[in-house]
Amino acid sequence: MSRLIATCILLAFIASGCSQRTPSGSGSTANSRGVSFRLVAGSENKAIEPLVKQYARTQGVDVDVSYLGSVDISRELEKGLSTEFDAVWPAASIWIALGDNQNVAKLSKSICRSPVVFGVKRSFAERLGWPGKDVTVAEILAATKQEHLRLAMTSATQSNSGASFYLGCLSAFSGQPEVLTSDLLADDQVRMQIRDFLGTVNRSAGSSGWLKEMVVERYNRFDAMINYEFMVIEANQQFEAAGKEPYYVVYPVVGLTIADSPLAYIDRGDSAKEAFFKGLQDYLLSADSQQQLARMGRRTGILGGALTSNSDSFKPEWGIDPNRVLSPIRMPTGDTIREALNLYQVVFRKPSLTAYVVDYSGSMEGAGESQLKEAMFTLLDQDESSRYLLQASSQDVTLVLPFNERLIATWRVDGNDPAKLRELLAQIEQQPAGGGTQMYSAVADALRDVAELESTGKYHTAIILMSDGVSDGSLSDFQQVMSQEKLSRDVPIFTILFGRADPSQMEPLATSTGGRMFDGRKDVIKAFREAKGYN
Amino acid sequence: MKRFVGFLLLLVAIGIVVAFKVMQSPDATDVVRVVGLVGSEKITFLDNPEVISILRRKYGIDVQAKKSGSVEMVQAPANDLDFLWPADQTNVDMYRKHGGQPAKVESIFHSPLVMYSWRSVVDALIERQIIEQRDTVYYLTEPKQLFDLIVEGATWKDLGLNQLFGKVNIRSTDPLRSNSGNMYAALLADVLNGEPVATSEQLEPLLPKIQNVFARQGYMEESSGVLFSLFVEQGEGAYPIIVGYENQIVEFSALHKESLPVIRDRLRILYPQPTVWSNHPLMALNENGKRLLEALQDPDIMRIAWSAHGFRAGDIGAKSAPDLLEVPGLPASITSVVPVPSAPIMERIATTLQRE
Repeated sequence: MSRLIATCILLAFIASGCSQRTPSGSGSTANSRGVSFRLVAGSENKAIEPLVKQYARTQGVDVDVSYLGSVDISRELEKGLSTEFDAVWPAASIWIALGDNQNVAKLSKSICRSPVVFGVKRSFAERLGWPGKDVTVAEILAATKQEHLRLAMTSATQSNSGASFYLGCLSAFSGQPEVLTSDLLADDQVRMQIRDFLGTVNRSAGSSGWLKEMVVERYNRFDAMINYEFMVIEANQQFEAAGKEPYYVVYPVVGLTIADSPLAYIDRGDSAKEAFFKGLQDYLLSADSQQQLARMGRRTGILGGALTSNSDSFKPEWGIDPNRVLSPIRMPTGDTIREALNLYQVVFRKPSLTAYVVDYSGSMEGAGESQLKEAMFTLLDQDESSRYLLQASSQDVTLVLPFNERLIATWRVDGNDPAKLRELLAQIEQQPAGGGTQMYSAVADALRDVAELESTGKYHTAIILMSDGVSDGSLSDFQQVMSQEKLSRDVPIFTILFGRADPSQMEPLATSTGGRMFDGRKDVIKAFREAKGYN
Repeated sequence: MKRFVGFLLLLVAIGIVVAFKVMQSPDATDVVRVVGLVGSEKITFLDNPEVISILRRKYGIDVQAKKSGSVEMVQAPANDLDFLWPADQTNVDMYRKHGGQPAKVESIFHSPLVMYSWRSVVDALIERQIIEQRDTVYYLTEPKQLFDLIVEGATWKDLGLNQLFGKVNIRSTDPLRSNSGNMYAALLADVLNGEPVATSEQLEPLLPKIQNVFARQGYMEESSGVLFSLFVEQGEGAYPIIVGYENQIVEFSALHKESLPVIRDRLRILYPQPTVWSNHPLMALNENGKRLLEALQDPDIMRIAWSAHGFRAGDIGAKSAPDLLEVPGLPASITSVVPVPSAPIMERIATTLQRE
């Protein structure tokens, strides 16, 4: 009985509370319980997801976080209000500025900061006499060549850290202008130096998070990486735990950039979502969260990181100095950035040697076959691929190896002549599906095909394998063939899982070569694009 | 029986709701909703619980304000609203041009255009006698010398600032999209001319210089709030000097008290001599709007506007007591001011910058 009374009184209060007006129209006291919220973030924010989820739980909000590269987040914003997301969180503000032509991103605030740095194994840094010294991009370039440093950097057209360092280099090579212009991009000296530098990059990746994982997993294959300061900190924490030599952080004195990690809201006039967004932003900017971010190697607080010096993630013996005055380059205008990124893709970058090994077995017939063909169209049709900044350059080499229980053919196109690539697409289109699945021998064939060009060191080489079934043969047989024939173990194999494909075959094949498995079961085109982002 | 008791209790509950509502709003019949659009820089002020409470208690006003761009809100007559509160007088003119007929207009708040910088940079400019410190206030006494250094392409190293790279420049917002950037263009024109620019003959020779100053900035932000955040977050290496409104530092320090020691130690507010005023004219569109216009001139509200939000209220030049503030370096009054050039002159500057 008393419970009934209590319930009634409670009801009464809830009712009177609900009818109270908010004090002001701009106040954000709307209730967001039960709301579902979609956030798209750069992969570098993956480590912060628990904080986001934790806050969402306290609000009773179902938040879904998707991860995309900066270029793709920009492209999402180009869609205006028809994007499926409620908020964007790219690595740097410039990607919002480039994509948001319709002015839909609102309430943007920087959550934390991190400079893009050159991390190199400490013994190299010491041998070069770098600790305590100002190091320029030109010196980094010279050292990379002289010491034959094996350098990893993300693709400038797929990831913010790669794009930032690339723009920084262009700025340094064109004599440190106040701001990079289109005229400077046409300068022969600048073009020569940037090609020279990008030619020294040993491995590329589609995102800074994956790049760091690659460098950690294959410690002995790399000496240096270009990444965010906090990614080097994360890697160093793993290296030290494993008793390995850490990386030393070099802040290039000319050509430095800072990622400012802006979180912005897509306003469709939904006050419950807006209330949740504002609450989330406040939560991430609260003293507690900022402390946690600082412990994760992000710079927080004012003045370029005064607050972070309290955090023991910022170890001076790793070359990390939050009190150092950082003078970043000025970001060029949107048009100049777009031009620079296009030039990277079609002219400056180290050429790609890509072998697509694709399953044409019987089970592919129908939907699988048409999705595969659409994915290949996205990558090889030059108009289509330019939308994703994945065009081929005149130096690229593209191989396509269709297989079923045996290798069906090997098609090859050198360069980026759109007509030749269209012919290749026609061949892909006409090839019917049928027969069994033997992916291991097809991959071995691809490795044999790329061996000669790969050994010149002039290419980013990759094999992209797509399969939808269970293959005959085994990884151990395959590895035996590799060692017998001395096939290179430096060529990463990226596998795209499709249909009923068996992850227990696809994943070890990828990871044993330093590649990655991508899940194409939801979106095969996206999986192909992610894989292609690696070279 | 049980069901009957339940029903009775429900009735009691409804009774409580009604009683509660009546008790809660003795003034409900007197409170009037006043609806309008405001520039983003004044939203925090209107959200201030003290301001809300005074307006409600003393004047029976409940403001329903929605954020809008100052230029955006004046594009068409807003007959369904009670007021519009943009930044800058030119937006009032624009509203009239588009057929709007405000019932009453008054500039309630003023905030001078200032520059924000850092101790090391300011010390170097004091040595060059470009900046002068009087009491706790830093005056940019020789803005022409500083602008000339920019135009000539002097480097920070030339000023003895070895830790800063590149050439001397001041970062501002995009003058084509943001009021503070536009006001900076006005100040540049007046100062480079040596006196307020009155004719297009005076303006023509200045245009290449003005264009150069903005072109060299590269990407420019759209909002003064964003630029100010970047300035404080990234520090002197990234943003040695920026253009902003005086009230930004007051609002920032009220919200970030933990940063006050660092702000006092390292951040500097520079008052160009002369500077230009940014005004915040409130356009009352009907009787409700007029009621708000009067209420906002309440002495307590004006004190809050100054002490928590940094808006100088009342007549231009009226004193605003610096001792109400936690940040040092704001003067009691602004004495050296030039007018913003006329609309045709400003439009000519805008079209020149657009060509870039």
